[in-house]
Formats: sequence, C-alpha cells, structure tokens
Amino acid sequence: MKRTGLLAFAFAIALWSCSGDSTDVTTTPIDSTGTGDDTSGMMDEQSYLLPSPLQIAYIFKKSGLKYVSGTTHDPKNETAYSTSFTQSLNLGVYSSDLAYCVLNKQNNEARNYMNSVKSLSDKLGMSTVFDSESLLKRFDANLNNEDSIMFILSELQSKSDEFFADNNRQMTAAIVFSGAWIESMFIASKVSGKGKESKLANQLADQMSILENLMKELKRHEANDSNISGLLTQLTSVHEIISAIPGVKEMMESDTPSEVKIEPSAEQLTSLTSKLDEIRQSVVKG
Amino acid sequence: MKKHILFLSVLVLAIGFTAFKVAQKAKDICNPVEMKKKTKSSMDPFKYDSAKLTRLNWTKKPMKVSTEIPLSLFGKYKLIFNTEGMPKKIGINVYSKDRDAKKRDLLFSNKDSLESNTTLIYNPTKHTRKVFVDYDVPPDTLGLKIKGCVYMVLGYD
Repeated sequence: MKRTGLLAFAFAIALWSCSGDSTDVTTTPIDSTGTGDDTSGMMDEQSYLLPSPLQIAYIFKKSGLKYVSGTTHDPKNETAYSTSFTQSLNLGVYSSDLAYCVLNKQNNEARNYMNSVKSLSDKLGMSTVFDSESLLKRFDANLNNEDSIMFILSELQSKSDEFFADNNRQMTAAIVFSGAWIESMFIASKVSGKGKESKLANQLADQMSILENLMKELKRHEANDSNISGLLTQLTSVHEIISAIPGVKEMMESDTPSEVKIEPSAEQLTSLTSKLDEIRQSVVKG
Repeated sequence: MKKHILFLSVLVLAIGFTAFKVAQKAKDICNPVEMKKKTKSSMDPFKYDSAKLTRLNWTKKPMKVSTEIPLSLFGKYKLIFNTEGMPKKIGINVYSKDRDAKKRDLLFSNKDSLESNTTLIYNPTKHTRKVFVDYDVPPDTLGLKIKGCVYMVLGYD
C-alpha cells in the first residue's frame, strides 16, 4: 500500500518537473538533410524579416564602399513630406543617410540626419521611440565615439521595431524599409566606381534576397495602401535588371555564391544606375 | 482494490495538477520585455539588426510558423531564439530553402536540446544567403488552450 502511494507520488513529482527552470545554452548547427514537409491539415503562417538600414550601410562599408560627399538627400527637405506614405518612405531615406554618415565619421551631417529622422518619426506618431529626448542627448554626447554611436543607432532600430510590432504597423515598417533600401542602393550606385572597376553589380546581386523579401512583404500590404503598387512596380523593374546580369541567377542558386562571377555589361550598369536615379528621385520628391 | 483506487486517485490528481500548471503558465508566461533583455546579453559582440516576437496559440491542428531571413555574403550573423515565453517545447528548425523546395538542408534544430534550455543560438556559416526558420507547434490534443511566445533576434558583424 505504502509502496503504491510512493510510486504515484514519484510519478506526480516527475510530471511536475517537466516544466523546469531556464538556463542559457548554446547549441551548435547540425548537419543533416530534410525534405519538404507534408503540411496537409496544418495551419500555416509565413512572414519575412527585413534588415536594418544600419546593417546595409555596415555591409557596404565592409565591402569597400567609400564616403562621397553630396550623395545623400538634403536633411532640410523633411518638411516637404505631408502624407504618411511619403513621410514613411523618407524616414527610411534619412535613416539610411544617417547610417552612412555615422559609419563614415561625418558627425555634423549625422546630427542633421538624426534631427530629420526624429522629426519624421514624430509626424508618424513614433515619438516614444526617442524616449523623451534622452536618446538624442546620448547621440550628441557620443558623436565622436563610433562604437557608442553604433550601439545607440542599434537601440533606435530595436525600439522602432518594437513600436511597429506593438502597434501593428508592419505596413509602415515595410514602407520605411523600402525608402532605406532605395537610398542605400542609390548611394552605392554613386560611390561604387565606374566601368569595369564598378562594384555595383556585386553589391546589388548580394542584395537580391533582401529585395525579394521586401517585395513579398510589400505584396502582403498592397491592398491597404494604393501607393504600394507603384512602389512595387519600381522595385520589380530593379529586380528585373539585376536578374538579367550574367552570374546573378547562378549566384542565387549556388551553394558557394561568393565564388560566382557577376559580369554586367556596360549597358546593364548604365540601365541599373539610371533606374536607381529615377526611383530615388520619385521617392524624395514627395 | 484499495491500492488501485489510491494509485488512480493520485494519478488523476497529478495529471490535473500538471494541466493546471501548464494552463496557469500559459496565462502570464510571455514577458517580452524580460525576454528581450536576456536575449540582448547573448548578442555580444554582434550588433542588433532585427527581431521578431511571435505569439503562438496552440490549436487542435499542428501549426507551422515560418520566417524568411535574408543575409549578406559580406556579413557574419548570429540568430538567437528565446523560448522562455513558451509553456511547452515547440520545434525550432532552420532550413536552407523554403518548405516548397524539393530538397532542403536542415541547418539547425532544437530537437535534441532540453526543454529547460530557453536560449538557443545558431551561427549561420559563410555563404548563407537566406535562412528559413520554422516553428513547429504540436496540436493541443487535451484542449489546454496553451499560448506563449518566442523571441528571435538577428545580430550581425
């Protein structure tokens, strides 16, 4: 009798202990192969993660793109945007310019872009992201310290992501990122060099998976804002030009993509550059 | 006979208590602020890039929640999952291709990790251009209405 009770008690304890405390553990990648899963009778949800403008600027800098004065958008122009669509797009443009200036130690310009970012964020109802001016004060105090500034900008990105998620504003997030991506590619087209020396095609080929995710994310919101269709058409035309460059499709499929040579013709580079000019112009004009 | 009745009573109590515990945890276990704080400390020396908090409600059917993440060939990345907000273990699998692909490689899985390990880290290798994260949520066969959340953050360098 006692033994049965003890057994049952032990069983109860074992069941209880299934919900244990948490500890940190690092797991290592495993090397096995799976096939497409059977999802019949299963509920599915699909979403796309978009990177930060700061990461794009960081990657460009790491891959050798230099600072060229005068390529970024006029920070004073932030007052020209009156609709939430143009404000969102240009918040992305200025975020990209801010990242580009910070990473290239252009402190005065960076300060101006931070003001434009704050002003457009306020107009879009995102003032909580700046945490009652304290983030701006820290930004000013650390302008000469690249590591601290990077940390502050990462924090700004994290807070913006939280804001978009908490307020169910994923569509705004996608439009902001569109502006940031277009501005980053525009800057790359201006500073990548010309002719055979140009790194633009390689840079943009590397960006293809980001562009594809951005287009998929925008498509999810297409029905909610009539401006998104036009934006999608513009991004699709950039996608088509890049896809036609010899090597790009192979790179997309390859298991060793960095070994694939991207070989654009002079015409393709010109067409890509003028398409980016055209799209960037339409974004910043408001 | 008495022995059996006692055993069954304790067993029913134990199962009931465990189910109650799971249901209780489901109510208040998702604490995004705390989860984000803890995940940030695992990020160093990588910088924050983007994040996603996925709230999950168990249903009678199994559920798959997928997220596609683009990466650059010029970057190094770290993907961190915090599952502290889940009252029960779910499958977290990272693949090289999406689920419609004929063949895809499993790059990372939490299959063999303990349920108590709530911080999981995956470092994509060089040459990875895109990863596909699947959360595999088992069916709620007992109707416990379990809910929770997973916080995923991407760091770069």
